Amino acid sequence: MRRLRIVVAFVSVVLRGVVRDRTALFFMVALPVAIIVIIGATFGGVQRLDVGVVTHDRGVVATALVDTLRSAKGVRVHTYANLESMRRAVRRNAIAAGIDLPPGLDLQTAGSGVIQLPFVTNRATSGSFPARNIVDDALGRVGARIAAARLAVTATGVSFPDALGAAGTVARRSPGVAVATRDVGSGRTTTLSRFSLTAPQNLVLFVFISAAASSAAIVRMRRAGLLRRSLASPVSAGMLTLGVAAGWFAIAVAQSLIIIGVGALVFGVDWGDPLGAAVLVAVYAFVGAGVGLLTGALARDPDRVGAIAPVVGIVLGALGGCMIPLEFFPPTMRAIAHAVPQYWAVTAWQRLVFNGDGLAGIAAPVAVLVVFAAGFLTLATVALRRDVMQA
Amino acid sequence: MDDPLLRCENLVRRYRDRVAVAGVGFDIARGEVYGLLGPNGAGKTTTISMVAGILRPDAGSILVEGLPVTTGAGPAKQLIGLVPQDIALYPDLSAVENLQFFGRLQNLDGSRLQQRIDAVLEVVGLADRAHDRIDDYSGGMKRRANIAVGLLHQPHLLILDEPTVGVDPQSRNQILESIETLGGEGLSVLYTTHYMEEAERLCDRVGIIDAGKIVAEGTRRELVALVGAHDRVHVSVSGDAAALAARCRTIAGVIEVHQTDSRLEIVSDDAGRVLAPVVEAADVEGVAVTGVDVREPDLEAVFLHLTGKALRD
Amino acid sequence: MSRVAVITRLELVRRIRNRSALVTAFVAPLAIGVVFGVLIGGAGHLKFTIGVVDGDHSPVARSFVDAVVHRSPSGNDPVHFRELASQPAARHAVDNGDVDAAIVIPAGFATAVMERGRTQLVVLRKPARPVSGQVAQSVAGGFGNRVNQVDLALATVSSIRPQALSQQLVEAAQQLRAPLATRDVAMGAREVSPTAFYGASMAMLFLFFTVSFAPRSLMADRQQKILDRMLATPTAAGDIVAGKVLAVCALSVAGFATVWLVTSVVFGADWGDPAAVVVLMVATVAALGGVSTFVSSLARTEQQADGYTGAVTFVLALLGGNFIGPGQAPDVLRRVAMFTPNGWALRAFTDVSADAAGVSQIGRPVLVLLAFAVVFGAVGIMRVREGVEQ
Repeated sequence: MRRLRIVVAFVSVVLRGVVRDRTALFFMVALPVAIIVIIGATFGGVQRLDVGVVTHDRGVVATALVDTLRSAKGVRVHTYANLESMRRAVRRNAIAAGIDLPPGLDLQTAGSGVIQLPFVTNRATSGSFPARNIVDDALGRVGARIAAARLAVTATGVSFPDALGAAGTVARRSPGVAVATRDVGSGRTTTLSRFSLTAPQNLVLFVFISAAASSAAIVRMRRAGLLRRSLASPVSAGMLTLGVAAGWFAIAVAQSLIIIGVGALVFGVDWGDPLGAAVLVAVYAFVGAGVGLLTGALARDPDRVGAIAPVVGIVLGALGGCMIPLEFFPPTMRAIAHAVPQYWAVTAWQRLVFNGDGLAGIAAPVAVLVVFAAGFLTLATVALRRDVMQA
Repeated sequence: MDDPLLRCENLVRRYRDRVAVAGVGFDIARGEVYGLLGPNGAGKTTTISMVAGILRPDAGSILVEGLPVTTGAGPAKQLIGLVPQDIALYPDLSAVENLQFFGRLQNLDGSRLQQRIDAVLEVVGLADRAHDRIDDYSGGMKRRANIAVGLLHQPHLLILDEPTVGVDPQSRNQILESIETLGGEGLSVLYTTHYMEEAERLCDRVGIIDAGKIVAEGTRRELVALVGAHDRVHVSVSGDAAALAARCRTIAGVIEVHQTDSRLEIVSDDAGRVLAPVVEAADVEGVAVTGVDVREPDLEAVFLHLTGKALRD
Repeated sequence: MSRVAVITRLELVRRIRNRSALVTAFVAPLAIGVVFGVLIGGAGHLKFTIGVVDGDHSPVARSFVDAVVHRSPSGNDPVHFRELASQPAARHAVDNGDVDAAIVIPAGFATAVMERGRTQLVVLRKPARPVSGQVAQSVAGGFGNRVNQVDLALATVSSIRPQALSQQLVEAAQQLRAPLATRDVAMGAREVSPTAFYGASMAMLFLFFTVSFAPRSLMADRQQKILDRMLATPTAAGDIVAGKVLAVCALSVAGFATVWLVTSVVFGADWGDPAAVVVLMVATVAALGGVSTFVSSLARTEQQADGYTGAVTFVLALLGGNFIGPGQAPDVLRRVAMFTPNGWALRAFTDVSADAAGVSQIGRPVLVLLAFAVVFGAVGIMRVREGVEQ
C-alpha cells in the first residue's frame, strides 16, 4: 500500500510538470482541434467546389456549358478574362480546376471534329479529381446536344444553330441517366460528417506526438537523478516504470477523450461502436505510453526531445496515413506504412467509423497495436532499468 | 586619493521608481583590494554592473586610469575583468572554447590568445581539464573557470561579485587564497560580499553599502573605531545576576555593564584585564558562571551600529 | 575578426554541435517535405480497379462492359475494370477490397432509357475510399452521357422531322463521337512539382523554429549571466544581437538551400528560376525571422519563448497553408493567408515553380516579405535590445 502511494506521488509530480507546461497543452488540445477544423474543411469531403471558366464570347455552347456547370450540385463557377489569370487562380487554390472556352466555340462545334478544351488543375489538391469529373460531366451533357445537333443537320438539313436549339429543348425534357452512389459497409446508414475522415487521423497523429514530446519530462527527471533517488524508497525499478507508464497512459487516454468529445459534440463525428472505440483508445494509449517511456529512457537532452519528437511524429504520422488518406498512397508507400503503428490505428478507426465494424472487425489491427505497445514498453523498461542501475 | 586606478563619483541608478543606487562614490588605488560590503539588495550588484560598463548610470561618472567607463565598446573595458556571481560560461563548451570566445571579444587573437589561455588555466589549476566541457566540471572547478575568464585579458581591475556564494568551504578557501595572491601581485580588486569574514580577511579597505549608499568607508581598523574600540565580555550566570552586575561596575577598567536576565555584557577597553576580577566577583557573590564569551569589535558590529540591521538576512 | 563575427561563429558552432538545430534546419523540412511530396506526387500515379456488373444484359450494357473490360490496356491507364457477376458479389468485392469501387448497371436499364423513364446507374464505394468512388462515378457518368447522347440525338432528329428511325440513323447515332474533350495544360508554363511545393512549405515551417534560436539564445545568456560577461567586454549590445541574428539567418538560409538542392538533385523537383528562388529564400528568412524575433521578444524565459514560437508557428502555418498542403482552401482561409508572411512566400514559391514568375516578377511578394521583416524585426530587436540593456 505504502509503495503504491509512493509510486502515485512520484507519477503525479511528473504529470503535474507536463500539465503545467503550456506548450504541451497546446500540442495536446488546441492544435488537434484547430487542425481537425481546417483539414476537415479542406480535405474532408468536398462540400463546395470552385470551378473556373474563361469565356471569350457569350456563344450558345459556352453559355450552355457555364449553365450546366452552375447547375451541378455544390459547384460555384468563377469566370476569368484569360487563361493566364485562371492559371494563377488554380495556383492560388482559389479554384480546383478551370476550363478555357476559346472564342468562336459555336462555329467550331458546328464542324465535325472533337474540340479539345484547355483544362487546368493542380493535381496535388483534393478538389482536383472531383472538379475534373464535374467538368467532364458538363462536357458530356453539352456534348450530347452538340452530337445530336450534328446528326440532325445531316439527317434533316436544318441549320446547326436550329438543330442545337432543338437538341436543347429535347434535353430539357428528358431526365437522362443519373448515377447513384451507395456506401458499402456493415449496414451503416447514417451520413458521415465531413470531419469523419480527418478527426480519427488527427487523434492518431497527436496522441503519438504529445506522448513523445512530453517525455522530455521523463528525461529531465532522469537527469535530475529523481528516478534514482526514488529508488532509495522501497520501490522497485519495474514498479516505478510501471507507474510512469500508467501516467503516460492516462495522458494519452485523456487527450483521446478530449479529441473524441470535441469531434462528436462540435463536428458531429460518429466514432462508431463504443466498445470497439474504447478498446482502440486504450490500446493506442498503451502505444503512446510505450513511445513516451522509450523516448524518455533513451534521450539525453530534454530540449532536443521537445524539438525532435514532433518532427518524428509528423513523419511517422504522414507515413501512417494521418495526413494524406491512405487511399492516395502508391503501393510501395502503402507497404512501408505497415511498419508504423499509426497505420494500424488509422485502419482500425476507419473500420469503426466507416464500416460500422465492431470489436471483432478491428481485432487484427488492434492485435498489431498490442504488439507495438508491448514492444515499446519492454524496450523502455530495459533501457530505464539500465539507466537507473548505472548509478 | 591621488591618481587612483578607479574613481567612481556620485553614481545614481533607478529602476522605474525604485532608487537602487543613490549617490555612490569611491576610489580604488593600484594594487588595492576594495570590498563592497552590504546585505542582499543594498545595491552592490547594481554598483559593480555600472563599474563594469554593463549598466549605464543615471548620474555620476566612472573613470578607470582616467578613461571613462561607458556601456558599449569603449576602450576602458579592456582594463576591467568581470567575474559574475553565476557561472557565466557556456556549459556545452570546453573551458578553452569559452576562453577563446571571451578572449576574442576582448580583442585577443592568435598566439597571444593561446598564451593567455595557457597562462590563466595554469593559474586556476585547470590546465589538465582544459578541453572538458564545463558541464562535466565539479562546482569548484566551474568557479575557477569562471574566474579564469575574468583574468584572461590581464585587466588592471578585477571585479568579483560574491564569488564564494554557495561554495563548499574548501573551494572557498582556495578562491580566497588566489585572490590574495592576485592582490599581492599588484592587481586591483573590487570585491563584493555579504560575508564579513571574507571582507576582513581580503580587503585593504571596505565600503559599507546600505540602501544604495555608502554609509562608511575605510580600513577595518578605521571602521571599527567608529563603534568605539571597546571589547565586550558576555557572561552567562546562574544565580543573582543583578548583584554580580553591581559588583562588576566597581572593577577597574570596566566602562559599562548591561544585564539582561542571567546574562551580563561587560564593556571594557581591555577584556583580558577585567576577566579575572569578574570571575572573582562571581565567586564572592556565590554566582556560578556558566559561560564566558569575549568579543573584539568587528565589521558586523560596525554594520549593526551604522544601519541598525544585521548583515545576514 | 569583428565581434559580430566572433559571436556569429560561436553561435553556429554551438547550434551545429547541439544537433536539434540540425534537425530543425535541415533534416526535418527535408524529411517531411519529401514524404509529403512523394505521397502527393504518388497520387498522380494511382491505379484503380473498378468492378462492373451487367445486371441488365441489354446490348447497350453489354457493349459498355465489353468495351471497358476487354479494351487493350494502354501503358499508363490508371483505371482497370473487372466484370463481377451480381450486385451482391460487387458489394462483397468492394467491402473486401478486391476492387476499389464498382459500377452496377441495374436490370431494366436499357428499357428505361428507351421509355424515357428515370434511369440510374449505381456506384458502390467505400466511404474510406472517396477517390475510388469518384473514379467509378466518373466512369459511370461518362457511360450515362454516352447513352444519353444516342438517345438525345435520335429524339432531336424526330423532334425536327417526325419519322420512323431507320436502322441507319440509329447506327449513325451510336457512332457519334463525344464532340467536347479536355486537354490538360499546366498551371503555369510548367506544372508545380509537389516535392518542390512541400519542400518549400516545410522549410518555411521550420524556419520559425530555427530563427527563434536567436532570441532564445539571448534569453539563455541573460539567465546564465553570460550576457553580463559579454557586455563587460568592449562589445556593444547591438553587436551581440546582430551576431546571434546573423547566425540563425545563415543557418536558416543554409537549411532552406539544402532542401532546395536535395529535392532538386535527388527528387528532380524544379523550383523554377534559381535567381528568383534565392531572392525569395532570403526574403522569406528575413520575414519569418522578423516575426519569430518579435514573438520571442514577448517571452520572458526561454521556455516561454519555445511555447510562443510553437503556437504561433503552427497557427501561421495553418492559416498560411503550409501544413495542410494544397487542398482547396476555403475562401476565408485564403484571405487570411494574405496576412501571413508564409502565405505570401508560399504563393511566390508556387508561382516561381510554375515558371509563371521570374526574378523580375516577384517584386511585390518580396516587398511584402521585407515589410514583415522590417516591421516585426525592428520591434522585436528593439525589445530584445532593451532586454539586453535592461
